[in-house]
Amino acid sequence: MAEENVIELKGVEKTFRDFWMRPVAEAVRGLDLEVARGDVFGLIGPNGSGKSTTIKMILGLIRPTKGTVRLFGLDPRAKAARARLGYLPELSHLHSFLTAEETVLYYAGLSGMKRTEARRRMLGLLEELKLAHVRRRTVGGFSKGMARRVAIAAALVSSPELLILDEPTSGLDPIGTREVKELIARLAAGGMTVLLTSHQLFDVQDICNRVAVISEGRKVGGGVVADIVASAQDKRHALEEYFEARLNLQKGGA
Amino acid sequence: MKDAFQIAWRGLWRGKMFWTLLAAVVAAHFLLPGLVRSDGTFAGRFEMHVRVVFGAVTALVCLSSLALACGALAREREDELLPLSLVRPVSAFSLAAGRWLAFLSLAACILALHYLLLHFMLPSVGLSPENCRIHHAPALPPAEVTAARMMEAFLRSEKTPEAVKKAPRAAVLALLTAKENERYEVVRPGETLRLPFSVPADETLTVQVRFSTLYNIKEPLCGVFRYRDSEGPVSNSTQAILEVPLRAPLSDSHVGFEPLTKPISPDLTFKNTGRSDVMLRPRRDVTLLAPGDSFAANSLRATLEALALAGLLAAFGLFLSAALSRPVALFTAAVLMAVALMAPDAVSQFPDEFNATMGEKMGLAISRAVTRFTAALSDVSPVSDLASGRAIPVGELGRVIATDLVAWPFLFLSLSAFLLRRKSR
Repeated sequence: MAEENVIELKGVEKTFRDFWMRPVAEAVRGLDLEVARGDVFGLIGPNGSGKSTTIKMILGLIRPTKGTVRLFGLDPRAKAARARLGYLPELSHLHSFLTAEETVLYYAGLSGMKRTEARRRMLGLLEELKLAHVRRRTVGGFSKGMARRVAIAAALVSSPELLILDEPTSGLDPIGTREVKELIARLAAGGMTVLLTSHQLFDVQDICNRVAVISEGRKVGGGVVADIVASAQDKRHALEEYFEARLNLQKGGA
Repeated sequence: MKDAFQIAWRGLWRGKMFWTLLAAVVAAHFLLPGLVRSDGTFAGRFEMHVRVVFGAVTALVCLSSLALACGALAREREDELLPLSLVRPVSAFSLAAGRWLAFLSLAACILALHYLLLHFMLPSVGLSPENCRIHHAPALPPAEVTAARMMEAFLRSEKTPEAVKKAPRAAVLALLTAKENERYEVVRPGETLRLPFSVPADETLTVQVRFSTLYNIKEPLCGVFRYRDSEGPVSNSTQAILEVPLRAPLSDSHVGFEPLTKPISPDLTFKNTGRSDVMLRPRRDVTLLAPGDSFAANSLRATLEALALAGLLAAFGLFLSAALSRPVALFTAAVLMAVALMAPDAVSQFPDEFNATMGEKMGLAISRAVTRFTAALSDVSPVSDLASGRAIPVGELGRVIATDLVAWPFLFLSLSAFLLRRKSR
């Protein structure tokens, strides 16, 4: 596979089974996806469409039932692939007894960073995310938005080449949301590949250059955001219109 | 592994667990001797400080290691913290092993404090412990081997009832092994009992023995032990645990005993010079005691054994924690601990397996399986060894460390890592 594609999914299917190995749910059905280097890629779809399952397969947390998932041309479980990855889950679960700086340093350590380099990077990130003044406070007492920013710092500390963000603006106030969007734009401008999921289609339209629409485990649409906006009548709600149109088309087809 | 260790250690430290356990150890040393009365003798007070306090500290360390480990990974999985760690270039094994090392370090800190307190407390209450002693058991073939020979003879014999012949071999063998362990030898007046021992020749030895009588009544006993070129007379009553020092005989005309002759037998002999029959169990009632090293060295070995036990339980707790939710893991650990503590007694004291009901047979089978499993996991008794003054051999300590602190934890942590990967889905 060309290294140009940071993420490549080919004919991926995932069926969850119960204890007796009986199929319970077909979460993903024949999904093909390519995320090129430098893309800010939005994975959008209604609840239960298979976005989280797809992300878990890309992260190597679960294996596909069929098809192949490649991350930097490698198996997602390979350490070499994981070393180039940053991940922000949908909910910012953090160790409540750790301070903000300890949290970021912990994940830096797990990523194999040297202590001095990790410390320098941690201080820079906490400064950038406006957490420097609370860096010695335990995160258990943080607001949802502050915890979210700590989680973002933890995801970014190892300077990953690929950043996977699951609902990155979830729990943030409008100012926090704007700051995160600006941060993602800065990261993308610096050459980082970003894959994100969100229900905030305005945000996706603002941040992403490419999108894929997933519904019932299938890819039902996608393309370059600029093209979608260009072909839309209401530029402001272009992605929302496109999303609804693709879902209606799928329902009609079904 | 270092990062996983640090995070778990910080959790223990900031969760106040560290200080709570240290306070409990100090309280055990200062309060328990006041709460539990000794008989006032040196031996009683020593027993109090060693068996009761060390027992309490060991139980505290082992149970806290198990309980903390049972919650560790389960809580992280329930809080969805594990995927964040598992997507990093780090193995699930090192995540589990780092946490195990943190629990082991906590146990080591508690036991180190106990060790220091013990050596501070004993002289302060006027107790200067004696050197420990190396316990030598008779050099008999293993009870299982003797039992297997007996079983073959039983099965060949025409007198053996058909019901016994048809019974499961394992059950018969277990019964015969238990009987062999409890087998009594009767020494009639004027008779001599021989027991093989292999003890280095230059040792100054003491025989520790407990005689019985047929109906377990106390009777006067009189006799002479001899081992190599030394002997020790004994004149006391049955049922008591006696210590008989062996010394070079004062003259060859010792009362009731034949003069020393060459070649010297490698067996320990006991000649009954009294007027009553006496009985003893060769595998249970006779031990040769040789001088060991200092109490301090022995208590260090006992402490290390306790640490190994805590390490084993912590690894097992992590395994349960990786497999089950926190309350279920804690409940499972509690039930397994209770069964493991009761099972050996159930197995050894069950009267007659062949007249048992189906329910009793099932219970016995479970008890036997648990005993076999836990004996394979760990077979140490640091508290009773230290309290009874038994020197813990360095070889035994090495074996305990190799199994309880290396081999089994490695297996449990590998299983935990496997489960972490599966459960993170």
